[in-house]
Amino acid sequence: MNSVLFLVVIPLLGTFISLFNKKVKEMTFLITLFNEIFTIYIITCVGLPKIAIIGGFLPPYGINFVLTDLSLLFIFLVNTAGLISMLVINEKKTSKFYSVYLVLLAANNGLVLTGDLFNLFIFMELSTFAITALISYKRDKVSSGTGIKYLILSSVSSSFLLIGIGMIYKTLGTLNIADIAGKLNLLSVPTLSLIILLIFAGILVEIEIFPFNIWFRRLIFQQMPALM
Amino acid sequence: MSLTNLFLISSASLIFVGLYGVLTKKNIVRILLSLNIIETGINLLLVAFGYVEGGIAPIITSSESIANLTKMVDPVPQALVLTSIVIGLGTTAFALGLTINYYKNLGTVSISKEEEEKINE
Repeated sequence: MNSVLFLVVIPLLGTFISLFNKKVKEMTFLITLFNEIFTIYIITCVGLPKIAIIGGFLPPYGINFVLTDLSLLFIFLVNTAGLISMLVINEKKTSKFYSVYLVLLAANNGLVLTGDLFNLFIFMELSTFAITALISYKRDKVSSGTGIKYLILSSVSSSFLLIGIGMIYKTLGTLNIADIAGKLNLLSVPTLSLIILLIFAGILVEIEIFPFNIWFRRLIFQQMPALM
Repeated sequence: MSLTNLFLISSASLIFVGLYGVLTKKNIVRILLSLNIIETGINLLLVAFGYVEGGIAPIITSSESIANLTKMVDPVPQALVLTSIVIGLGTTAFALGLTINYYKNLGTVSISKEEEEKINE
């Protein structure tokens, strides 16, 4: 079941091609449509759970992609949102917009599918870059100011996430998410609280859940209509 | 004090120095410098997690190194640090590019209340 990697690889490949291609919009639409059809194929034809092993290292050691019913739901949501946003865009955009959009699609697919904690960090950083580039796409006063603020805040919060991941590796000796879930009751309560605090501080600032979203409000109301 | 404790304490102090800089400075370039200090502290922390006192490099070259497998330092944190150095470089370059854009639009590189009002106009 290693073909699930196509969901991440083909948008990234499209990013490089879109730098030299004239018909960028049609190509981006085709890639998004391919992702959606491939997701529906995975949902209907593949038994669960599946593990895509990368590089030949068996699960507790190598990097792997995991398909469970939860990650199936989320890849369906991500790809449907991508398709809808491709249909909603009606203004003329430069090719940079579509390359950044493809990076965002690949990063979100990888974020949902990965089974390795450090890969999660990498995909999160990748999607942060793509979101920042989309925010500051118009290059006027508001977008450049909000873009740099978003980049600074999310870099600081993702460094907390990295400290938490490092502490998990130090205490449990593994980075595989399924393996961590099995070993988590070996930790003492203070260590577990510190790790949970660090990881949640990283993730919650980056996805703007309620107590952390005060700085984000202006950015949504002023920037999101500009992107359509 | 053992060498590992020295590494841990110095990395924690680097992280907090950088956090102080991010929270108090108003110049964007200084904020980015403080971000880099935080990243350096995290890299030192990750390397210190895999450190072994009197260890050898984790490369199998001869029968002597195979005999000393337990004395090798952990190679996984070093791989993580290489990746996180590259990510930090990308963040810094991208943020400096955005800073040039900010300077062209507002004529300054500081984030403060006056600039907020200028943006909101």
